[in-house]
Amino acid sequence: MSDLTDDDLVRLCRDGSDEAFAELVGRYRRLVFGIISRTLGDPGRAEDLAQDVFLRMHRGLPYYRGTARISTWIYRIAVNVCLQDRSAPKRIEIAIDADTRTDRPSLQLGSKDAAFGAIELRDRLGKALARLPANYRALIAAHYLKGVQYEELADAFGLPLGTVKTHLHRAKRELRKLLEGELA
Amino acid sequence: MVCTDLDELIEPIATGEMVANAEVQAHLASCVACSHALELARQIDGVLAAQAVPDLPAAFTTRLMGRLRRERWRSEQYLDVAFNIAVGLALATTVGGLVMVLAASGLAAVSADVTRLLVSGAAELLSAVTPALPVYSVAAAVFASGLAIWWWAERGFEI
Repeated sequence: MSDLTDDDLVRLCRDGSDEAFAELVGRYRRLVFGIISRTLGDPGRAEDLAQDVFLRMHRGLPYYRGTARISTWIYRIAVNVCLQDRSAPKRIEIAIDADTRTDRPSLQLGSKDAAFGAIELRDRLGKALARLPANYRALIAAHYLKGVQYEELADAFGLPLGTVKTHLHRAKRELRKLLEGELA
Repeated sequence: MVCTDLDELIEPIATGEMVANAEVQAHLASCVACSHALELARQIDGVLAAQAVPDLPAAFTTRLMGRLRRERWRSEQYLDVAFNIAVGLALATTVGGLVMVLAASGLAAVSADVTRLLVSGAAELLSAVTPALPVYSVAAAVFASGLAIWWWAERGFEI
């Protein structure tokens, strides 16, 4: 199964293959869970909603025409699920990947040392993220997940490419303003 | 250039999507607030880019496939119920129509005689069969047990 393309797997799913569907889930579950978890800030709820995404996808397979890539279609469902969720997070947990840890010097936010400053920045950023509108949170979550390109984001959000970039910059500007407001 | 002009460009410059020209660089060199804003934007971008993808529970796919099977089983059940209701309605309509036709054509009186004949025939049949009733009861019980085992086995596999 692992050597088949997404389109092959979709064809097999349509013929009723649960094995092919499980393979598709395996390919996209991490990204779907990542988008939802980072948008909602609640891993427990994110798992339920990630399952909803794949169940919706399974129900929609007979109607999938193949005009968009399967990954784009899955992201679109994930984004819709996030935007339909009414829960407002208090804080988004930001865990740092040890392999991609940034080498940039940490900004001093009134802290004693660089490491503490970085933790403090993450903590404040998590709170600021939670205050952003859901569509900005989903956009930032999807953009910073590895493997999601601008073009796919544009298709998933149903926006022109330029508008996606503008929204992303606005979202980050809003984050910066929130942090500047805290620091002032 | 003033600070409000540069504020719009801070994020694209911080992510490297835009290169600061000489005018922007001159402003950044002379304005502490804007240079701090750019540094903060870079920090935000760095932290967001370094985020780890949250770990999924190990049983995610197993649980999902379980939900999928349950959903499929439920939809088949709904289909069965809808089919049974449709058959029931069709049967009731047919019987009702037949009764109306019999009443309208005057055949109802004849059908009453037929009914009496059938009832007396059934009574005779019952009296003939009564001695063998225990055998029939055992056969019916065996048949019902077979059906129950089949239903249990199928239900066990579906869930």
